[in-house]
Amino acid sequence: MTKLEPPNVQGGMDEELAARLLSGRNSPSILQKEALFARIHAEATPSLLLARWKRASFGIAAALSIAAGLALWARTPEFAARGGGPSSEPAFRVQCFESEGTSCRSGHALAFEFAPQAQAQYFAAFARRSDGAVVWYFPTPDGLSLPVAQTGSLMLDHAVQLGAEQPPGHYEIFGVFSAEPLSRARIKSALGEDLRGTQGVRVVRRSFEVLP
Amino acid sequence: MPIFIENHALLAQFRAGERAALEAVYKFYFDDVYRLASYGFVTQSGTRAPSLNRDADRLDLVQDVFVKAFSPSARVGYDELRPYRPFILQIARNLRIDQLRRDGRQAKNTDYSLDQSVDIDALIALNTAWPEARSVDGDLHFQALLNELSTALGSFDENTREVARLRFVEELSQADVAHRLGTTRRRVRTAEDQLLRGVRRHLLRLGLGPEKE
Repeated sequence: MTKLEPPNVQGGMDEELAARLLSGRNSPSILQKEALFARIHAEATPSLLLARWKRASFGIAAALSIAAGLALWARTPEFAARGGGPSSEPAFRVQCFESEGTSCRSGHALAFEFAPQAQAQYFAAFARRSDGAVVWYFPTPDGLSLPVAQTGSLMLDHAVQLGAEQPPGHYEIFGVFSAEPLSRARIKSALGEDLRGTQGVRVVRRSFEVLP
Repeated sequence: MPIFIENHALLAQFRAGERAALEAVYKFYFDDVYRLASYGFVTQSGTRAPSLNRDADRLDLVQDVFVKAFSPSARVGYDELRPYRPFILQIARNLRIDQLRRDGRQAKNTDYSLDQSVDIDALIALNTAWPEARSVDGDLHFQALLNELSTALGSFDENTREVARLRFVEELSQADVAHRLGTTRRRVRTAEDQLLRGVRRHLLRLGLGPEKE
């Protein structure tokens, strides 16, 4: 059974324990503090990140990207609808504006694209690195998960810039769909031990790689 | 001494959102915010916030507090007439209470046994120090591991041990350690990796490791 590393626990526990022992204090080590600061800095400057993303997303490249995404919709396995009509299962994929496929370079913007939804949904997302470190995308610490339109394909109006808090490596992105907007705390409690989601929450995972 | 006293340049950089200034403020007040999460508190209006027992939850709160404190409005909203510590602790206090309200307090599962019952409003108003932390069982396990560490450290040369002291005890950045020792950051990073691997190997050899929950 997969056990969820609690969001924002940074690095493997063995490494953190070794770092704490070297410091002589059983409290967050310099490694944990530095990693946390990278996430704080990235999260505390969203307007800058959003502005950069908007510059990238509202250009021709974004238009072409969305058009290409629509054309390929039916042939993309992660969006394939069972039974031919719009799927009632929530689905999404991540897309890097500056490149194709499931990889993106550090510093580039990551967008979220949804399959047609049969019912209104709210969306939250976080990434988990192979060592268990978690980076939240949405919602913000004080916020709630974001609304997704009922029908039609669309790009979420929020993007993520891959900064220092998300160094190169393999990640699993967890998309959390719910019928009502949820805070981070409620999302965490609704994920369940197997991370498949409970209490009306559906979890969809996507593999993703950040390139140097 | 409060971080902005007689350091107007730092305050200007902080208000401008410069990364180095934000990091300096973060490092200076990390322990204060982490303690608020660890201790639990009561307010003068009677609201009781239990301590957060899981390290991950404490770090979650620390992250939320600094994200809020570093937002443009909070940076500009801070007036230098007051010390910064009560300012950021007030943000932490309010966020913790908001968190409790959102989570419906979870009263049934709340364990107050580890709480220090700090009067948070008095601590903020008077800008007083936190009480000494109570010893818990986890500290004994940590102490036992710590006693084994001297053997592991003994296998490293003096330069690597100095990296351990500067990096992990004094908590300097890799760049500052390199500057202090007159070497490159890459060598510091290599020494740091060797130290961490060495300690982990030593603990594994002894059959010791992270305490299971």
